[in-house]
Amino acid sequence: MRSPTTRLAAGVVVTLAIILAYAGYTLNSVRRMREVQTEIVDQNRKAALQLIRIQSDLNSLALALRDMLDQTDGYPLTAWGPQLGRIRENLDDAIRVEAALAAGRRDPQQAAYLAASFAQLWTAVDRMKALAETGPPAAVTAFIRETLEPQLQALTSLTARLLVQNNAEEQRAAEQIAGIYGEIERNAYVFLGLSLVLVLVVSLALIRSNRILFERLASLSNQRRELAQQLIATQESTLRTVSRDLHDEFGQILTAVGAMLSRAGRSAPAAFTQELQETKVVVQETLEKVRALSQALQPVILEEQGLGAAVEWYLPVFERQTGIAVRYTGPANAPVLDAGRAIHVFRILQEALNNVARHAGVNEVAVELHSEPLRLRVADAGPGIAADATPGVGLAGMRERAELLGGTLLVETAGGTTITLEVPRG
Amino acid sequence: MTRRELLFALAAPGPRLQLVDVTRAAGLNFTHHTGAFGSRYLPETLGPGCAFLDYDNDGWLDVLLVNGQDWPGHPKRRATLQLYKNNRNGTFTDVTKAAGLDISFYGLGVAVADFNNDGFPDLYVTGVGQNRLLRNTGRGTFVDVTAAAGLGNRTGFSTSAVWLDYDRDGHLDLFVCNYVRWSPESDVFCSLDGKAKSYCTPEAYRGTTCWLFRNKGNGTFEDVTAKSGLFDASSKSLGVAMLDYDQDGWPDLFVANDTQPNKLYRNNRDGTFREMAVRAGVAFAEDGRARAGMGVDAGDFRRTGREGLAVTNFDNEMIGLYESTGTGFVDRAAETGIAAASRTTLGFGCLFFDADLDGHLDLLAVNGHIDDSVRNLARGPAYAQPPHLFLNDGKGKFRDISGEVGGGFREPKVGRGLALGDFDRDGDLDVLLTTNGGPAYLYRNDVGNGHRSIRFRLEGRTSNRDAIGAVVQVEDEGGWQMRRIRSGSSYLSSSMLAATFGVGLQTAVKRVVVRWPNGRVDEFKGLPTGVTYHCVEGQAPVALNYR
Repeated sequence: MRSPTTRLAAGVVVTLAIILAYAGYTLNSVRRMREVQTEIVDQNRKAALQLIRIQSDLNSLALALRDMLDQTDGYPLTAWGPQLGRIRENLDDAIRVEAALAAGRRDPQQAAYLAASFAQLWTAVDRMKALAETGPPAAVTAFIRETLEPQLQALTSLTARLLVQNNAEEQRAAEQIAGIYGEIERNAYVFLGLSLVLVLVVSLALIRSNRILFERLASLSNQRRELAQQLIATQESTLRTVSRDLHDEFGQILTAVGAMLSRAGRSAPAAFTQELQETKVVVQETLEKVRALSQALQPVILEEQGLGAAVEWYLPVFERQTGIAVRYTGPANAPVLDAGRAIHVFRILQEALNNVARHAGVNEVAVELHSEPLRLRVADAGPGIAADATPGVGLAGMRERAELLGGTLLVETAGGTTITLEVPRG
Repeated sequence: MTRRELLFALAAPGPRLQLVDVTRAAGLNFTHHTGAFGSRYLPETLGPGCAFLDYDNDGWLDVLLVNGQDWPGHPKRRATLQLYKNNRNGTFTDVTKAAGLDISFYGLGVAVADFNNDGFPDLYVTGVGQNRLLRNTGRGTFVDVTAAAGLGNRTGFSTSAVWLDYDRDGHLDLFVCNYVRWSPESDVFCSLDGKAKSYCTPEAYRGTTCWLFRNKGNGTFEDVTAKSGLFDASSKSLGVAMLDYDQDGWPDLFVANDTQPNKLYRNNRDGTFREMAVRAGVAFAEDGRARAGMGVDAGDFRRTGREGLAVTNFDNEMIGLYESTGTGFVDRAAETGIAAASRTTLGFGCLFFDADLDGHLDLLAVNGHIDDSVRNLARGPAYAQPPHLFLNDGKGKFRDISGEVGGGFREPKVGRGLALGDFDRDGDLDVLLTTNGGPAYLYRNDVGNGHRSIRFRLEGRTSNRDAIGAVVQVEDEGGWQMRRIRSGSSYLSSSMLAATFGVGLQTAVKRVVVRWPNGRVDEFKGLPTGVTYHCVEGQAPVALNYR
């Protein structure tokens, strides 16, 4: 089976690449918009403000000329000099700023015409002021009406046209910005769609890989369980065979040897009687050891009297062998369990007590056995299992046996070690 | 702040001053007569002005209130100027008739100064038609010398006026603001709803030039408007303040224009002026629009030694608070908190003064809409509006405490004129304000935090006798403060001429410098506070008790 990591990594890389590409595209669009806004819209807006300022100044000039024609204030025409000077100063400044803002965008001929028109206006204003100093008021008013006012009118129209042009440019810039916004919007949808498809593909691949992995894991787990069960079954079968052979074959042989030695003793010369008697004792001890070994390998009591009796038989044996006192709490009713299942409970008890003897370093161990539901608990007050300890084969065997029973094995290490086997009813 | 000041401030929580409404107790029973009869003539919305002056030279401030009159063909009641003499016990007596001021004409504003250097304050009353120059005879009466002074045969729509010695010849000259070209015959029909007539805004009328009259020193004046370069037919002027923005010792002028760019006229020291408002940054609002300038005052509200400006404007235009940079001005209204607080008010009279005598100039502004029909607009501005009293914390922030000073001061009013003067001679400055078509109000200032002041009443010898244009600088623990002796400022009104400095709890100031209009400098050291000093040009100051 091929590992999905490469494909998943590729998916992630592609997703990241798309996100980065889109972020780059968005930033670039924003930069373009800013440029458009700064270079065109802002420039146009500033230019429009200056054009309005020019219009306002031209209007002020027209009003001043009107006041001069009316002469209702009772002041000589020369009195308007400073006012006209201020208007000119402001107007020149507005023209200069506007020209700088419009540089590069305005037709050179138009720019030249504008400059020439204003120059002509100021020349006429200067001439009017000179006339006001020296000439009769009638000549000044005639000059205003015939020369200055038409020029002013023409310049006002020209400024209005420039404002219209400016407005048209601003409109174009606005359309350009709208286009960029539209492009960004379209691409946002494309990006969203692509991202969704990609996420979908990667997710499906992930689900498929996971499913295969889990199936594979489940299969392996089953195989392992079957193997373990076969192993345990083989082990139990072997132990039963060996135990029976020891009990039946070697027991018979040793019993027969004992009987033969008794007969031989009766007919043997006195010199051998003592030796034969010693040999008979050795044979008898061997016979008892063989029987004990047979019982240990496959307690017959388990098959004949059940789990409760087997446990009660085994615990004193354990006490004698290890010197560790066992505090036993038995069940009210003897557990009803066939020998094929009871042997697993018994083996778990044996293994748990062996672990106490080997690792706990205690003088006492508590054993509890309950029936309905079946629960076996072995608890010691030793140091517990170290966190970094490697789980041994014994513990794995106990778990396998618990699984064979359809139960659970709980190992607790707080304040000693407690092994609890629970087998539900049924 | 010294430890003693700090302890005092902690021990005295709440507002540090009270403005007590003493109008009725003082006997000021004035009601402004607009002459309105339904035609809604533009001048009806503008008046009236007011003044604190000591017309009888008894050392106690008297009160002058300007009045309108009936329009031709629509008689209702006779209205005249009103002069109230200070009885020195918190009350006033109406002496209008005895003083020869029961003159009926359509008055708007008043500028007070001793134009003939005889020691008695004279009046220039502006209005619609012919303005009046009223000379103080020194015997408790005034005589109309308009024609004799060469100011006759000149009609206009004049608003604020200011006396100044622009050519520093020792004789006070006169600058007069004119609003628009208006007469009952040229009145324009304006309407908010297309049916009923409403008051027009100034855009409906043509502007007109302000006037500058040079005092020839012989009781007559010469019109130097054109010669001085001040002629400007586009202006629609309402307020004027004298200042020296370029600090060259020659008086400059700031003119607040309604819907037209403000003007800043720099004195060229040769009898002419150069307009600098655009360059100096005071012509327009920050957005480049010309605002509806109404009242104006100049004062060193940052204690930098340079005069800044406060300009009241229409609602939604906010007060302009311009700090001087030395070469121009920067509008600090937003960062000081004044802009936000004044956004919905339509301001008229405004004056800098140290309301709580803590050494920092505070700002007082009176407000009120021009058109009573705004009352019919659902979400429109109010017609009567509360005044602002912005307390300067000395750290760049102003806080409106008008609601904390009692006396019904924050009650909405249709405020117009505003003048300041110490009518009860307790050391702080009291408030006189007028309302359009309504009463005048006199608020007695009771500074309750133990703060002291020091005051200087100047008398010129070769400089003009009122010492208008002189600068008084006081050095105390907090550094230098400065005041300029000026008539005018605010809107249509004139305040007490003497310079009042708040000094907190200090019992003496380190140094006092008087810069006279003719350039002479007098310096005094270690003057005790809590005293008014009479300073004659070139002589040692003479202490006068407040009481």
